[in-house]
Amino acid sequence: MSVALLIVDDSGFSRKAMLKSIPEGWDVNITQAANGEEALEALRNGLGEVVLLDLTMPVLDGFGVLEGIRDEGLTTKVVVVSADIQPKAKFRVMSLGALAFLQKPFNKESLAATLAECGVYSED
Amino acid sequence: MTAALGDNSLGFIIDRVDVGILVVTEDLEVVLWNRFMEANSKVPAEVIVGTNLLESFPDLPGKWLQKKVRSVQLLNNFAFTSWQQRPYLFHFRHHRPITGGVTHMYQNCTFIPFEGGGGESLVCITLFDVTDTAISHREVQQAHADLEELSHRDPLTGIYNRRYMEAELDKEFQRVARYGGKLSVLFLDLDFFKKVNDTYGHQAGDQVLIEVTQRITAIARGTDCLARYGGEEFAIMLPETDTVGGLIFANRVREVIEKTPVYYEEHTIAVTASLGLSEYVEGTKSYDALLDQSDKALYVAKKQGRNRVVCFLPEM
Amino acid sequence: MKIEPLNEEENEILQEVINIGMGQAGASLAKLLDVFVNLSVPRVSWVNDEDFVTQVGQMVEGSGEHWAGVRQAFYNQLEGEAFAIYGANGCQQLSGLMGYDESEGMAQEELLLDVTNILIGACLMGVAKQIGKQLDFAAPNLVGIDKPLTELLYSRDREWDQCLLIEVNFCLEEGDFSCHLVMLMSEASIGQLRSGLIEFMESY
Repeated sequence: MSVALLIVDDSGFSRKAMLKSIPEGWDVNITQAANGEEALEALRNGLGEVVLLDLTMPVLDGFGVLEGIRDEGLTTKVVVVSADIQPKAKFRVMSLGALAFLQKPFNKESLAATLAECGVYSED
Repeated sequence: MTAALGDNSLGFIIDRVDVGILVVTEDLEVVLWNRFMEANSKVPAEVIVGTNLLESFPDLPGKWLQKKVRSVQLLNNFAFTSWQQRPYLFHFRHHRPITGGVTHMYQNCTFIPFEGGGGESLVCITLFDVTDTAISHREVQQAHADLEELSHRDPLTGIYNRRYMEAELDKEFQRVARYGGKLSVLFLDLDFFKKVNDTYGHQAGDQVLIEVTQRITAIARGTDCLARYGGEEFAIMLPETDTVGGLIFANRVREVIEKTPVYYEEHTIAVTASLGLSEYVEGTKSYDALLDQSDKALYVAKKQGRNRVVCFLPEM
Repeated sequence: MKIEPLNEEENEILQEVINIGMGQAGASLAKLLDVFVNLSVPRVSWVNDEDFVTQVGQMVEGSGEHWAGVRQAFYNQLEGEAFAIYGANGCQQLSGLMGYDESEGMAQEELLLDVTNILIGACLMGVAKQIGKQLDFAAPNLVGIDKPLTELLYSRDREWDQCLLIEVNFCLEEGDFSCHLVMLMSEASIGQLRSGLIEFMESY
């Protein structure tokens, strides 16, 4: 059974980089969103069991998405992938319910390790 | 970069380069102190290395320096100071013992964080002597200020010129129009001045202008703005003055000019002046209008026989 | 020499690289002031010498207002000049946050220089590191306090026709401090930038 994976980033390049770095052999069904509004819409439609979420975005940012998930009671597992590396940013997303924080720039290994840490993907 | 040089050469260069170089730990303990620092501070390296910088230099801005060093290390980023904001870090003597003009060496500094051989975090501070730059900068600024002041003045009498006076009047007018208050303008023209020039020569005429200026300046208030408007015509802006006050002043001016003749060489030159006064009232459109009114009043004073003061009236 | 502007893909990579640099600059500022910094989405565009001031004016929204500006040059494999533009109210707030002693004369000017150096240094170093280029900085200098934008960005005969303009802004969550970083990269370094961006992309 494949996992519904939602990739949220305003940068097309960054979404591409995430696509390329997804562990090989992980059975996923991928949806992409370019801002927070689009992400919430996809989540409401059940397209995001797991979310890779950027923070700094136009329209609605990543903090807003996390608040939306909380307020609407959506069930999902969120991994934040962001260049905003302030300790307070990490603290905030974690208290808003994110499972992990992955710092940009990331690579295949760090993404796989983070996903494994959250228990959404297992390396074997 | 240093393949051809041994460690000795690098040490020699660091020591002898014409820039102050010192290295400190995060607690400001001195690790390196080059010859520039020795020569300018008169504190030898063997005395200061291994001790706290502030012990030898209690006058340094200690709290600031500590904060600077810490933040450079914390953020792992260069930092700079410029003589324009902080004239010097170390109070060193300047290198102008003969030509002088300054009291200390001006310095630009750079703070460079790096990791020492044992992994300890260190900061290298470099110090550039920019005294010459600072002096020429100051001279240029002074020259600018002098030029600006000159451009406001009438060269013969030293009082303000027409352009400056009008700019000041405009400002004062705006202020009064917005916030209320009193403002008057007085125009003054010396009577039969052409005759003075024709009879006694232009130098005599110049002497009259200078002396009249001195007499008016002596009785004017500090806030009044006296200008030579052209030829033998003067304008005086009188802030916080209404027609009553303006008339008193105008008549005193007329009297000090009439009372005493101007002596030039063997000549005794009798001088009188005609004056026109006008006051700002609500509805006065611009400072130009005020000048125009004073000019009209002055014209009437001339027509009525000179050596008198006339106030502007709407029917003029 | 006519330089091909960045194509769409290169632009996208650049934006991401700047995003990372900005994140590092924001973190530095946060560390220094112990505050939370809100980051913006970076903007990248090409400008020519005529409309450069107008464009910056649109970015900072309010060219009629008065600002404080600090200029800092960067050089080596990438070269250009960066401006930090601060709103008038924000400057005062900074002094308080930094714990600067007001009695120390010039504190505010020096503070603006310090903060600028930190933001520009962290942001551009972040960019340069990602794309494997070397970068050095000259000392920052104050171009003006309480001046309209046209005066802050005034330059004598500009030698360039076109350059790459990058804008990011930082604001503190509390209070009204905000800072726009406007970074202008000369045509001469676009070749280096491009090669670095391609390398960065290939690393994924």
